[in-house]
Amino acid sequence: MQILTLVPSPQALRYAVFSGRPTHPEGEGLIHDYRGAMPCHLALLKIQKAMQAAAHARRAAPLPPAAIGIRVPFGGTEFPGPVAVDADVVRRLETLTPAAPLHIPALLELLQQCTAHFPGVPQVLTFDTAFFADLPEREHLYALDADLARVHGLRRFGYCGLHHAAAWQRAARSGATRVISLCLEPQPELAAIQGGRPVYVTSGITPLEGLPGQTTCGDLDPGLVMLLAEELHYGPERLNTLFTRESGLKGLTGSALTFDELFAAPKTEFTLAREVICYRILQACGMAMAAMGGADAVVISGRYALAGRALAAWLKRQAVFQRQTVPVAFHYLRTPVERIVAGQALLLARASARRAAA
Amino acid sequence: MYAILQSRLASLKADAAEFAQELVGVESLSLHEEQVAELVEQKMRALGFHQVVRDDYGNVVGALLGRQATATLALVTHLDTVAAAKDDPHPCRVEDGRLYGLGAADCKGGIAAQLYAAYLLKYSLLPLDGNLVVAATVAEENGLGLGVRGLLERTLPEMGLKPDHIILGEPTGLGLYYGHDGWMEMDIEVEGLNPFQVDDIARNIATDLGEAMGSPEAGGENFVLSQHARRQHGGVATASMRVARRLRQHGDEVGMLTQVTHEARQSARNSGAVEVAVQVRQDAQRLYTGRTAVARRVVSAWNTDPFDPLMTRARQALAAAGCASQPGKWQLGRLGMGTAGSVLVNEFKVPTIGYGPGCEAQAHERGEFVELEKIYTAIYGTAAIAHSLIGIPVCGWTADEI
Repeated sequence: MQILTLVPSPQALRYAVFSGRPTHPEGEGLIHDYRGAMPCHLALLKIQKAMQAAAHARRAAPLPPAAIGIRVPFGGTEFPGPVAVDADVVRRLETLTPAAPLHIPALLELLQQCTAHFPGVPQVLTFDTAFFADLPEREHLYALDADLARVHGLRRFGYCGLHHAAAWQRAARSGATRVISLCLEPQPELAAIQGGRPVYVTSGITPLEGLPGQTTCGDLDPGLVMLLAEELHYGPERLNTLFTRESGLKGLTGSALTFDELFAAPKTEFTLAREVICYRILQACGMAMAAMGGADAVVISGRYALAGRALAAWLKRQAVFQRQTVPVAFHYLRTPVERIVAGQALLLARASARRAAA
Repeated sequence: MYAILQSRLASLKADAAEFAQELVGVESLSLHEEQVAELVEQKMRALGFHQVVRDDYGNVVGALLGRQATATLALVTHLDTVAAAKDDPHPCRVEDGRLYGLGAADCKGGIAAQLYAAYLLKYSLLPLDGNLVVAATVAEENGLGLGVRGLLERTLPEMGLKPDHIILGEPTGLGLYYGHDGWMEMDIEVEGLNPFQVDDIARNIATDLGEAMGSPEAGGENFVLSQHARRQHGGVATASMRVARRLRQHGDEVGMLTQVTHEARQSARNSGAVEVAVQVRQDAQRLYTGRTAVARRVVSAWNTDPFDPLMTRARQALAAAGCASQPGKWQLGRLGMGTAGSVLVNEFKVPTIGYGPGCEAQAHERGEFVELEKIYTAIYGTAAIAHSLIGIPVCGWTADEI
């Protein structure tokens, strides 16, 4: 049974093909400029051809996948678990558009094109934010007017749920029950997971809150936003560009810098930026420990997981980790998302096959 | 969001340039716009506009419907051009990044920019809360806004798309324009029994009106007077002449008519039995659809408050998108020029601004051209402004993966 996984983002469409147990993909690839010059239908055609070529190389007949698993970055409160796509799911997804306007319309187009290119193949959606569906109320509430927050859905989420879920699985195998999961992506996120349940996360109503990223600002005083609007007449779009594209490492150093470059090959001119990022991550670790009463393991995942080794070495030397009676274990996960998406798609596909057989 | 817009725009540039060239390649003098209207309608259908309508006036209207229809933004240009000079040595062609041809700057580059701006938003999958209308109107140059008046009076209300804001794609050289002076044409008639006396008085009026206007002010032509012509009928001699005068920001049509009537009668005050009458010039126009209407030769000055939320949001959006946004007003170097803003702001009270790729100095000129790069920037800039007004805000999300 073959599972095709798709991980779309505004910049690229990542795909992987798993056979049998979703441990290692037998084929994978990245389609660049997926929201730019490469329209969705051409991207899927490319994937289809790659799958056919792989089948020919194995001297096997090209067969459509048994299921397509798709990662969705938002919607976990509406869909707290993986879901097979049908008309009702599509309708409910459409209602989420205002909360994730860059992602949901593109997802709907992707679903349409998957149906066109792989007719009859079940599509299974796995939601990043689902991991945080039962985030404690004390954690997801903002201290705002309760009616305003309820009517407009102003609450905090976590956004890298699939990474955190994989991090939990990895640490739990070693017996950890209190896990700090740091997803080191361009917009990093840290979560505290106790007994498999998230109890603290750095992100907010959007991924912007929390840790500074490669181009994102992280936590700010809301007064600063008002000041920029009042004094410099910045409108919402300019503020968004400033906070999402021109801040973080870029703002601190003036250079378009990745976490790889920051941690793996430290240059002296980036020392201050490195200190800021490390310090903020350390603070978030402290918050996570406070939420869980300590920590058994730290798992660093995401595309910069390996660069995170340098960060981990620094964290281990800090007092908050030194003073733990039992040393905190550190683990590194590189690409867990596809495996989780494939695993969940496989489960749903098998269940639906069983139902069909019955 | 802007990275997505720019990336998608890159793959649309060739199509947009080709479409602009097609538009310029089709002659569309005022009241003869049918062929170019057909072209625009076909393109709107091909690009998947949700509604496409050709109304009774011949205007072409395409709409992208928003999720909640909270507000409607209309992007408005015109299909017609003024007549070319017969010896114009610049036929339609692309050379050194410029699209040459009649109407390239005024306003076919603007049509292409506005149509592709709407499509860019759709193609980039950026959802809209409000409705986006793209309208290319007829009889703007010669018909003094007959097409746009019909659009606002009937077509858009019937479609349920009355606009809350309008952006004109007229030539602004990518500046944000918010108004211009107006002008009006008047017919002056001097009637009397003595033809020589009638001629004398007509000449006096011409001289006195000319002196009253003085030398041309900075900012272009402010007074044009035709030679008088005399006819004789049933023993009555009638001299007629035509005068055009600039209407400044606070000058109105009635005031100008009263003033010119007073000045003309003053010139004739000691001349005995002659009658002097002044009236606004008007003539019947037959649109290409067969519909007829009377066009009054008045373009009122108009002005959108430079601090109107429309201007503010447009400026903010362009700044966020990394585009320049120089505010300004059309200079209208010659009387007889103008934009639909006069009708839209003064008659329909819709806040209106201009943002287009053409250059005002090119409008109605021999060898007219528009720079293709400016068309591309106008597509991107117009899409950014439109999204700021009716798009679902993208707050806290980036084009990066999370």
